[in-house]
Amino acid sequence: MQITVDAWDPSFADNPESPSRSDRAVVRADIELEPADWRPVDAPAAGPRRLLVVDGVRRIDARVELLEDGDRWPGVCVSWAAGAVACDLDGRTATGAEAAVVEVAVERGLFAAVDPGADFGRYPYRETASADPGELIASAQSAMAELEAKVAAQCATDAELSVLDGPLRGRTRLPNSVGYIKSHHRSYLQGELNAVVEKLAPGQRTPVFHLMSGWPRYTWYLRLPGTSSRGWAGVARLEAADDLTENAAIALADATAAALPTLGSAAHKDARAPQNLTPIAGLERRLKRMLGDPRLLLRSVRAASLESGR
Amino acid sequence: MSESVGRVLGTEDATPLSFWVGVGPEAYAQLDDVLTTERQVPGVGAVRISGVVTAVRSRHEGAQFDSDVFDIAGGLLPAQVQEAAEVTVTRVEPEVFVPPRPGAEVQRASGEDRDRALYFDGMARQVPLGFSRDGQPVFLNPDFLDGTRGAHVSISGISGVATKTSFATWLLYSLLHSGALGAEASNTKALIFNVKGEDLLLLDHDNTKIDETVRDAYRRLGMEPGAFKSVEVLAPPREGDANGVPDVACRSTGVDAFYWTLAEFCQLSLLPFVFADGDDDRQQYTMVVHQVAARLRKEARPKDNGAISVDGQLLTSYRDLVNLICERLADDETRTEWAGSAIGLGTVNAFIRRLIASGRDIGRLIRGDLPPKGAVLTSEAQVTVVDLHNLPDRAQRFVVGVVLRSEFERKEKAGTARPLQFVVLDELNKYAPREGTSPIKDILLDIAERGRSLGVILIGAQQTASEVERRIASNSAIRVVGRLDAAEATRPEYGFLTQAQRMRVLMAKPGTMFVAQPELPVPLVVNFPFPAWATRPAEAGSAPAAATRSGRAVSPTAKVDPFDLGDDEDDIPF
Repeated sequence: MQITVDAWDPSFADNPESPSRSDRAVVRADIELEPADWRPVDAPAAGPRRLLVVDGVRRIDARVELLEDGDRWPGVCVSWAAGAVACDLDGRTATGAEAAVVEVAVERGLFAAVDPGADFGRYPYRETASADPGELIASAQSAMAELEAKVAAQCATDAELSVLDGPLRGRTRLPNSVGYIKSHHRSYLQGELNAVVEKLAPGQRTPVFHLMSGWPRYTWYLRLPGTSSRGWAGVARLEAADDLTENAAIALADATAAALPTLGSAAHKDARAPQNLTPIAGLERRLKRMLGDPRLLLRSVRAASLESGR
Repeated sequence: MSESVGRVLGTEDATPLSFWVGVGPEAYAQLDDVLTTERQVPGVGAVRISGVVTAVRSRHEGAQFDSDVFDIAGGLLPAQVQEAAEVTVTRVEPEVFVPPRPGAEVQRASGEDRDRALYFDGMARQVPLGFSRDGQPVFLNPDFLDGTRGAHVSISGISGVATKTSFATWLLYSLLHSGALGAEASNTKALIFNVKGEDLLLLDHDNTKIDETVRDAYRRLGMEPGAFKSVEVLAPPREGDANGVPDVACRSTGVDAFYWTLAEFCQLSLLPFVFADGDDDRQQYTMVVHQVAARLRKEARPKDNGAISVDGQLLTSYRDLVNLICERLADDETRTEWAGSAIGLGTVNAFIRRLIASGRDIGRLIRGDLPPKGAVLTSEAQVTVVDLHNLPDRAQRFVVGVVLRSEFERKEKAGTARPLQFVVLDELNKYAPREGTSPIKDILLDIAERGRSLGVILIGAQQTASEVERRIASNSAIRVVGRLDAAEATRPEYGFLTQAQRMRVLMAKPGTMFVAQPELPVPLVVNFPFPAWATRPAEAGSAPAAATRSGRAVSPTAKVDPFDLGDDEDDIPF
């Protein structure tokens, strides 16, 4: 088998968005308030002080082509990392008055439909179902989600609220965990209900509603302070597990409304402010650093491909 | 085994001369710590690289903006505190100058490793200097002090907090009592000029204010705490006192007066030292000074009690001499003989004006009414303190100049460097300024350049090394710096300090000195112990045995001056 490494910098053509699946969204809005009574909900005065924030990052280090019997099979070398930060809003942590990274893990892999049969050093082979480039990325994405879940599971779970970056899908092992979605590709609410989101003042949330879109979960919108409060600026969506009682989901929604606004980042420090929460931004920077130098990794992939070509 | 401090950083360049160390989470490194690391070199084997910590820093890693610190402290932003230390390499062994490898483990050097890093292992003899910041002793190689390989000490620092004189006396004490000089120590002499207060007049009195920790510090450095054993204080005669009683308030024993007789003044041509001001040098009358001095040596006939007669006229005081010189210069007939030919009247008058003015300052030092004591001031005592603090500036210069010259000439005639003669002189920038020439500066230059072979070792102190004659500073093998003024610290004279040390000297506490010695590429920071001898009357303990041995608290002056009755005015024997 012959292996060639794409000469192009792999960051080109990397589509960070996971492939969208268009599922039909079913919304049940009468969890907290009757649809007719929907209005912005104020945050409670006191909220959780000890938070756990979990996040993962992923980077394509190299694109390779596997040539076997005249067939071309694409593959990607991916590095991903996941970590968790314990925040104590009162500044009391074991290590002193700092947010502490409690758990970090880095993994790498070569995703392809066929086994290259060569040692790719740091990148163990992971089989994918199809050779479609989108599928390769999706496999990497789910590997990262697995690692996130693993990291989250290893954390001490004395946190009053666990915020997991991204959709909650399948990651419900942590107590009091919510999924945190920064950007909105679809709007799930219709008509009058959607207008409530636009009416949110900073720190306010919408009532909890139940969403069935691919998988069931409770969800609500929350507006973070820091930008203008018009339209959808500064609005994040949160998800809670479907197996909670309705009251437990509402309590979680109150907890996020009390705790998250203080974590919102400032526009001059973060291009994705305020939705990109400060601990997440710090954790992401740290995780990206732990992925290693991409040029160095690319060089090692090239060296491995030359070895296998001999 | 040595304690691990951290690892060599890879984010900063590591060079054979300096490298950075990432300090481990459970460790610390402070300034002046001695660290060591090792690497393998193909074909050579293990190379040990050791050095002294010259800078330390800590930062938040993961913070991008200054305001992030509040998020981090508030528990919002994850970040890591990382400390790093800069090591300035002092020794590479064997001498293969390769950089340490990033990631290499760095240890705190202790015991033999530390001695090797600081070259103490190669010092056959060691003079304790004090303690470094980590509480370990620091040594000086006496080879660079006693003339074997170098000589002279230059001490700089601002007045009051730099403790220059304390360090100079501590260095002497350490040298004489640590055993570094061996048997030679007992013959070694020291001449100390006391220019400020009566600080140095009680060197032989125990200090009652020191406690057991200070005594313990002396013992840890290998010497017994205590005062100097054998000290004699020489002080100028009291103003207007006919008997030449020394002008000292704080002690009554072990004090002698110093003065020169008129006969010595004329025979040894001491007149130029009356005009030893830097200002005097720029004037035309220097020629007149030398002419008059030559004339005096020729004409003066010694009489009893140091008096002289010139042309049959008996002169018994400095004023008499001044008057005679003025008369001869004023007289048209004798002026050419005394002042030399082709000398303008204005120049002669300028000389006369200054000569008359000097009568007030020098009068009590040049006597025609007391027996000669000899030109050489050093006595039998090991340490001779010449007290200048009561004297006006012109008289101080005169004494320093004359004493140094006679000491130097004595050693020159002796022709052997041993026993050593140490000279402690403060305010070197006054006696050997960078600009101009003066008779004292010439002697100091002579000492600096030839003293090493003659056994005259200068321990000079000054507020500003930049204002001292360059050749004197450059001939000093040992350079010591205490607290410095900010502007002074940037001058090239202190180029031997590292960048960080230049900042540190601005806040050096009393008792902290930066000592540069030729073997070590980095000056060492030293805390020297509090003096075990009294530095002021309030601290003085019992009178030392040596001073009272002569009994009955009689001044040793009595031995050489039978006419000195001391305070016993009633007991006139005739």
